[in-house]
Amino acid sequence: MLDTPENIGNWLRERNITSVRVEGTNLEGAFIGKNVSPRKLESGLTSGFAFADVAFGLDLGNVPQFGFAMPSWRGDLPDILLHLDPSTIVEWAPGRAAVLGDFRDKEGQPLPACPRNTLRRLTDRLDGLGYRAKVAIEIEATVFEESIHEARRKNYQDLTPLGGAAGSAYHLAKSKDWDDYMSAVARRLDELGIDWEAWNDEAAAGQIELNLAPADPVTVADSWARTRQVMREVAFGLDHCVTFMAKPTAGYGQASHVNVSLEQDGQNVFYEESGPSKVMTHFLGGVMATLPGATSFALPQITSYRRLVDLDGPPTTVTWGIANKSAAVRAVTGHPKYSRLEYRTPGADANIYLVLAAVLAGGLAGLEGKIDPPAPFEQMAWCLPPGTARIPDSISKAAAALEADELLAGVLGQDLVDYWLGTRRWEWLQFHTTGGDPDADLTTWESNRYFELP
Amino acid sequence: MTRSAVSVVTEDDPTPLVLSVARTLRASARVPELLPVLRGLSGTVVVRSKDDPQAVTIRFADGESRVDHGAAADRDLVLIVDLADRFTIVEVRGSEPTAPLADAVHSVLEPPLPPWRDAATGFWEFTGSDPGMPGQLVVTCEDEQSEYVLGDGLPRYVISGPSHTLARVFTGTDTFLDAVFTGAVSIRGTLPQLSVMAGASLKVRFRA
Repeated sequence: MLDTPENIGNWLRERNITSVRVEGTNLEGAFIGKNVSPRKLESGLTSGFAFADVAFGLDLGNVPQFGFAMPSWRGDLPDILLHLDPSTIVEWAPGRAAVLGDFRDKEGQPLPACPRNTLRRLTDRLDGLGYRAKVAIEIEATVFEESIHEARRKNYQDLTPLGGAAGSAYHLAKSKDWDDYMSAVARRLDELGIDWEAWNDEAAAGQIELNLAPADPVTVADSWARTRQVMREVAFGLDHCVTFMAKPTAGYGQASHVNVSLEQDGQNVFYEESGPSKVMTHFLGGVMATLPGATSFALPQITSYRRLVDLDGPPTTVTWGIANKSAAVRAVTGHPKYSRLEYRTPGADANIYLVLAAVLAGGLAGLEGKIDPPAPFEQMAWCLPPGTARIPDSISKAAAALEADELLAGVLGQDLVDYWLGTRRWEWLQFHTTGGDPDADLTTWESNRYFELP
Repeated sequence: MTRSAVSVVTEDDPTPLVLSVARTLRASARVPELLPVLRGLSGTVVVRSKDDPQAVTIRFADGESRVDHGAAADRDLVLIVDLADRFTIVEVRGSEPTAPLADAVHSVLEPPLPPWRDAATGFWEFTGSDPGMPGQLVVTCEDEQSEYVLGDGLPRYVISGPSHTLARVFTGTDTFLDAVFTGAVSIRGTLPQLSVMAGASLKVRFRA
């Protein structure tokens, strides 16, 4: 058990660890951290590791986010502290360990804007109701032949999809370099103990889908953060580059679908032989009631909204259906083990800690308020005539929907919602006033900002 | 769609430039000598930034001004403007720079500014009670060597600058953040206050 500084010290010495990367995920969804010596690690296990508060206050263009009331933990660049979760320590590479943590304020209180804190809090709240959440996520990414250095030189434009341009889902007739890349990723995940289930060719040229195995929400979100780091490192090692932009090319965009179920005493309580159980129904009721507001988390960036094209794959309407992948939420029913809800809105650029938190928050509101969902949508949920609510299709509309959503704020926490809204409105302002063009196809402003981060 | 008392209408999901143009037109409608100019305008005018892709189309008809983002193809006139300096026209396309339509549109895009104290009062009334705002705003006018205090709470926040700049900032003509970064105004306060004041400035620029 790595539960004391002494045990952790021994663990480091046994492996000849000479540096440790302390890691966290900020509000933008970027993987951030520091590299510390083993001695520093041991001294920081109780005190935490200091980061300037702007770790949660810079946009992806490295500009401070202004324009909103700041919470008490922000100030004139005070420290916030990364407190480590020793259960996440791994040997990342020979001589180098890595360990994840949560951010707290200087009084040791969980930072309301820390995505991992928030997800843990909501998971605990579900536990309090007697439910154990089980989630799985899909990671979609596009890999290019060029190195990241070459991609930067080309402003991320006109890159060559790895594996050939004849891409569409599930093809095995890819050039070997594509297979080599994903095989190397899978090997690294195995070395790190990250549980993956499958990977395959996805719809756009150079695009892959990687499925992480179901587990508790925090474990899966941690795996998501580390898997993306692995995919970047492997790409770098092979002189390729990879991006998690929601729509990096004119081809199909990329998603990050989330699958959720609840268990009680080891049984899937979303299951009922004839269809959605009462628990699934109420959970779904809350998820649907909060779906427009939660879109701000699911589609966090300007480019996120470029995916929302009817018939392209992503949902465009506030609908759910049984076995209906054109709806925003697909219910998988009638199976004792696999009954679940698939939340299909999130883009590949979403912060999965926040998306899972928003989905669980909606579900919690539904369970606690016994909210019934609308009727299932039984036809194709694209290209509908006026009358069916559409998913907010811009960062500003989604922010307005979130601001109006008292249900979601009540469970997620008003502090987090207010801070998030401030950052989204800053993003809107930056796009429009520093060179973005709402009427153009994918702009260099977006590629420069989102290709490498978050 | 939002509609003002003087029929300045914007699209449902407006861009920052749409909002600031609409706010400017509403400000012109409050100026007695500009109100008839605004009401009498007819035609479609594109206002485009000289520096970046920002553009709006203003359709003047029957006393209504409708502002949408982008450059409509059916325009009568294109004004290329310097957004860093109000709406200073750097080029007119589609007519002579002194043509009546260009002249009239320019006049309603650059209404006269109120005295800086009136502008500061309006700013404080519109934003002073917003979450995170300081309890007291102390405005120091450098060329007049005078001080104007708004609010009586704590904490204090101090803004200093020349009268003309103060009037531009407090009316939302210039953004507070730009004025700080360029040194046009100086400030005394905390970084969180800088953030909330920047938000207040944008609220005035886009919503007043």
